[in-house]
Amino acid sequence: MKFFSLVLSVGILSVIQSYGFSVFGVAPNLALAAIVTSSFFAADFFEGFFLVLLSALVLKFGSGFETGILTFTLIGAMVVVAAKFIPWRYFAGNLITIVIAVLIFYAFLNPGLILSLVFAKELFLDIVVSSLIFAFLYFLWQDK
Amino acid sequence: MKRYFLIVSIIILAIVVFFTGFFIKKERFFDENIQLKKENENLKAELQGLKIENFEAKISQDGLLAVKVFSTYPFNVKNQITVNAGEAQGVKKLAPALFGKNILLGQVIEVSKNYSVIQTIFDPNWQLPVRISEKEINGLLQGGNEPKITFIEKDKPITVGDAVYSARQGFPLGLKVGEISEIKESAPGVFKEAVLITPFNVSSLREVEILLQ
Repeated sequence: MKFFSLVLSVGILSVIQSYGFSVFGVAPNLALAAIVTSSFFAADFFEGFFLVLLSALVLKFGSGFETGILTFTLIGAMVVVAAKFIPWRYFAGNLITIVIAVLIFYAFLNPGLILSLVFAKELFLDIVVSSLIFAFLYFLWQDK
Repeated sequence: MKRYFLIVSIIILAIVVFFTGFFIKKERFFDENIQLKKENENLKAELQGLKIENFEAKISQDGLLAVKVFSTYPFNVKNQITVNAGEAQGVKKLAPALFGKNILLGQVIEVSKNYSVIQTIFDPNWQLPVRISEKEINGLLQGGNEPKITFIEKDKPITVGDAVYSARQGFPLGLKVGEISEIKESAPGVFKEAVLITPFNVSSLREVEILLQ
């Protein structure tokens, strides 16, 4: 049941992102936010890796090889591993991890945008989305 | 048991994502409002274009291929769309992609047998020489989330609402790109900048046209 709720969260947010959802012209990285948060709730690495690849499959936007999807997958996999070793309390760890993940993502794909307003807006939206997912999963599971 | 299932699923997903051409087509449904907006904006572009000398953007319907948008690039770092036509339908690399027949949307950058990828003017890596209004003032369109026109000489008169046209070699002259929505006179140096507003929103596009000839 726990794993199913993670699959549902990551799957739904990836589908929404893949349809071009945007807020004032900026597309939040809903899938990455969901992956980061889910990594703190996943039972083991395998669940985490499955979620990352499920999301990559939904986001894939063309028939060729895409560096964006490969970068997303690698960062997702790193987050899954890192989440198991982060010593801070979960909520703070979640916030710090999403900031680092988005920063690395841009650094790999378009470092010139890191100093732009688009990056700041997306980072803000990603933090909000990630916090909401965290709160949702935390309250869903707190008595279990 | 669950762990074995997960491992097998991970392997299959990795193969499908990175070693096959499979992708989930997120084709959007036809929207009548967008079609009407497209017709209106194209008529407006045609009327504005007639004011330019040497206006050439009279593209025959035969030279245009209407294609469906399958997916949009899901991250902010690029702005591209995948459409359902490729080599087999006569699409060639670098062909202009249009919204209707008078409004420039982008350029084909990748062609496979039955799919093509179009780089739109919202891509941060997109640059395009342009001319502003019937006075044909030169500028350079810098793509991005909020496209802007740079390198406009400070003493050249431009106003909000002026139409902006493509001036790239190889594209029909006079294809409308958008209109000026804000002027930034305070840009450093001898040039000023302007913010561009386009008549379309990439995330709501369902059908676009590719110029074949």
